[in-house]
Amino acid sequence: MKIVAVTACPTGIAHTYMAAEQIEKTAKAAGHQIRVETQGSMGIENELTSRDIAEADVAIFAVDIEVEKKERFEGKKTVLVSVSEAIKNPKGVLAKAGA
Amino acid sequence: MQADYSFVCNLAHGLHGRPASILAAKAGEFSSSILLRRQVENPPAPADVRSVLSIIGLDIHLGETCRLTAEGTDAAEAIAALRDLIEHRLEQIEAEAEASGPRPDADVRLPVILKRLGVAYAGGRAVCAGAGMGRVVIVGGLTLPADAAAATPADAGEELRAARRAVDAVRADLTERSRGAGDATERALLAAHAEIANDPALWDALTAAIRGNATAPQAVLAAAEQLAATLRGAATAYVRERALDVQDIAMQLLDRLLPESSNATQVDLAAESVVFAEALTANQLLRMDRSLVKGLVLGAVGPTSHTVILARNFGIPCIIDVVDVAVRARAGDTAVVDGDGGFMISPVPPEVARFYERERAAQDRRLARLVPLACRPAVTTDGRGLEVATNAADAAEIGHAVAMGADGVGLFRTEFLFLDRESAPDEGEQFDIYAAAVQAAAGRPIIFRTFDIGGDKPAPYMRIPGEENPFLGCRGLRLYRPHLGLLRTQLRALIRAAGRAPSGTVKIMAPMVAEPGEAAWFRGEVETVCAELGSAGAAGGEIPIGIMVEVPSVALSIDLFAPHVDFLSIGTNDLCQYWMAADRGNAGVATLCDPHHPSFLRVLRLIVGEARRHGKWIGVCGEMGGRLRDLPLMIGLGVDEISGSARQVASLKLGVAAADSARCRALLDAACDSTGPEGVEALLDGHVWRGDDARAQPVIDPGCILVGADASSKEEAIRQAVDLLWIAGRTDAPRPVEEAVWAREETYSTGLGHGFAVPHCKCDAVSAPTLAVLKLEQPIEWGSMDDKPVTTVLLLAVPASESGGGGAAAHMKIFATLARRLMHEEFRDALDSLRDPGRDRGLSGPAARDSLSGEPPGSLRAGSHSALSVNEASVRM
Repeated sequence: MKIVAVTACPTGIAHTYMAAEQIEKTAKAAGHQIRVETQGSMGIENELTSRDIAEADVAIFAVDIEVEKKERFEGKKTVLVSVSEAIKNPKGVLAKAGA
Repeated sequence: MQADYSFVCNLAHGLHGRPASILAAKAGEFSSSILLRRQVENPPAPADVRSVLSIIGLDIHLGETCRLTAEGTDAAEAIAALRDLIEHRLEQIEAEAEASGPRPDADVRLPVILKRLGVAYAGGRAVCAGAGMGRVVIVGGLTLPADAAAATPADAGEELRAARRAVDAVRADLTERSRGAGDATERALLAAHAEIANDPALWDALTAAIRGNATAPQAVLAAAEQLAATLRGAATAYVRERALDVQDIAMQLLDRLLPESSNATQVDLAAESVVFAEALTANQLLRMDRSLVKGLVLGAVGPTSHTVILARNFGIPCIIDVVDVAVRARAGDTAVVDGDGGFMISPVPPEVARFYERERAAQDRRLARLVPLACRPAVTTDGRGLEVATNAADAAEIGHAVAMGADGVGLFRTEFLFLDRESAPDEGEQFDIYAAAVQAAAGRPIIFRTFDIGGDKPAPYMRIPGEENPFLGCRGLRLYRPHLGLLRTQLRALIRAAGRAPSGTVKIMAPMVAEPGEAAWFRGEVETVCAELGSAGAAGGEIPIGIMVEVPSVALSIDLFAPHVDFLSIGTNDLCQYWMAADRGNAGVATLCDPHHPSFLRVLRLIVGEARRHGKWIGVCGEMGGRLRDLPLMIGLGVDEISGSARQVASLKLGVAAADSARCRALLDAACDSTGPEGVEALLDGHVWRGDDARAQPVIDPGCILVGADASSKEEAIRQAVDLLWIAGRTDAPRPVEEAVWAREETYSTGLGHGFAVPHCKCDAVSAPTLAVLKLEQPIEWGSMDDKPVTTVLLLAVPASESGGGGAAAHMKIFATLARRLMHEEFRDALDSLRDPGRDRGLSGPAARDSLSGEPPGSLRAGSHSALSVNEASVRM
């Protein structure tokens, strides 16, 4: 399936990117298509386009802070988890997203 | 008759302090004998309720059950009265006493590790940075002369009678003085002291000590110590004051018992010491063996007192405004004073000692690394030189500062030679000291300031009349005309000493100059003495003559002074207090006397600009010149020299080397345009003043990798990782970095499992984004996601003001990449293999470095054979 995800942690130095890597790695290994946007101290990177979002079956928010530009996901099926959950148990997070 | 009453103590601080003394006073109104017991297993002996010290000695805490029993004709009335007090009055009384007590601990900054250990400390005001450990020496405290301390008692009965006579005499004296006292407070105090002299607990302690084979004076010491020990640890200021009272009484007893001994001002130290004193004169400090003074814990001496100024120069950690100094510690115990955090701990528990030993070891490693760099001239990234000098008061200090990289002496204070003595130093004595200073400076420039004395400083032989407002009175140069002989003697000694130095390196400077005529007169005096000395003087060498810029009138008329002076030196402390009309010693106006007021920065800019225009050399010898935080402002001003304490020289010089003078100038101009000090502080928080090269420092410094680190807890590991940044010069202040790391750690643990932890922070105390790597000898608990202990710690530290991108964007990218790669087992394995069993503990050797980042940081980005890069291929899927 097609998945989009956003990761963001309070300092935006480390865990944002760890969570992004975990989700991406795990999803790809399971044969899904995935794009992950990071909202860290360098601002938004790998920003999801409206097309990415529209085509996705589900959006995963692995965040400990408010997601920026959240309005892009209006009406989308979203799964909200903590950053540490995504790092610790990415398979579980994907399962929650139905993947 | 007998009566009793049981109750549960409902006082937050237990049955201590005022509540205890109120109970005792009430009990004294009855003839029955009244005892108080703690209802615990193995209860201590019951207390006689008429004795405050005895009640406090029971150490009854909140929630404990106690029992009062009375026996005598009025037993029932006594118990009823005490019961009424306990049930209806004591809580209220305690609350009132608490509310009015001083709060010296408000500004304490406890290091994270100590905070987490929960150690007991006494707070004060931090005035001289650094930390020092040693044995407690109490100056002005309770001590016996050597012979009395060594004496053996002749006969217990005789000693007891001597003690009794002394106690009765002291009590009678206090009672009489109390009756005769006109002032109500004094009357109450003397009456309270008479009560203590009469306290059964004191007498019991005295007799016990004498029966234990002590002389009466030794018994006084033992009894005072025993009673004070109970009181000292009390949470309330009120009880601690009682300990001071006990000491006071004990001193009076000793005066009776040993009338021939007197308090000596000379303090002989036998070992490394932390000196405790309610007040310590500059002279007392100067007469101590300075190499043994590791710290000062003082009472109300004032942050700008000479004692404090000297301590700062000598690099002796110092806190002041400590309440009840003399009873906070016991002579001979260990103590540590923390002049950064503003507190002292005594006795020192092993884990606290370990913390400070490690901090000191890190400091030594830092200096070993920085000092060789600091011994070169300091030049900004855009090529502007700045002399970094030291302030000093004797040759030993200069020698130390030169070894630390000082380019010269920006201010040699001579007034200490003149203070606290009966007559002025003669020419020979002065010459010896100045010549020694010149020799220690080894050809570097040295600015001698002629004596700066005023009505507030003790120089009895000058007979300076008391003044209503000494800071605006006859001080500094204003005293020279009435004391011309003193000035000329000093000038002769200085000019002769200058003959021992390269021409032009010895400079003479006058304090407290307000108008050009004074500067012209001073110059005339120096030239006259030079001419008199002829060939005995500076041998025809040149002696530059200058003035302090510390009176606002000078600031606006540099052009008028220019013909009379060769150089200028700004005394920022006095200039600021005169400029803002705010006494720098007065806490009530402290926010006004802040050199970061834009108005003050503007006047500094004006002064330096005018000095430049007239081709005059200008330095800064006030505190601002020695403060690392103010360095961008100093560089922005464009002064020729700054001068601070020896311990700051290396940091200051490296700061200069990292600075871009044009950016510093822009920062200064922005600061001058700020609306208040807050705006200036915000500008100083950032790193915009640094040069590009300094801001683009490698993410990995080889010094920031430690294989085989010995840490026994998460706290120690984090501190060690932060120390790596400190040693490598990536931060000048490890504690704020440590605090920031812990603040992040509090949100949730950074232990990411598989034995790895990535503590991190955004904090402006770090100068550039930096990665520190700690490979631990022993796995430690981190609260990791997989509940497994941690063996590898990767600390990521980023300046807060740059974390948004800009110059640091590339570095942030490296951290992001690193974080991503840590999610891959192959990468973690590669990092794990860094462990090198053949290598000693300590800084990693070349092999370990090569495997992580032999080359400059770029290696993380550019493909190289570092472990981090090698694995780039393997982790890309």
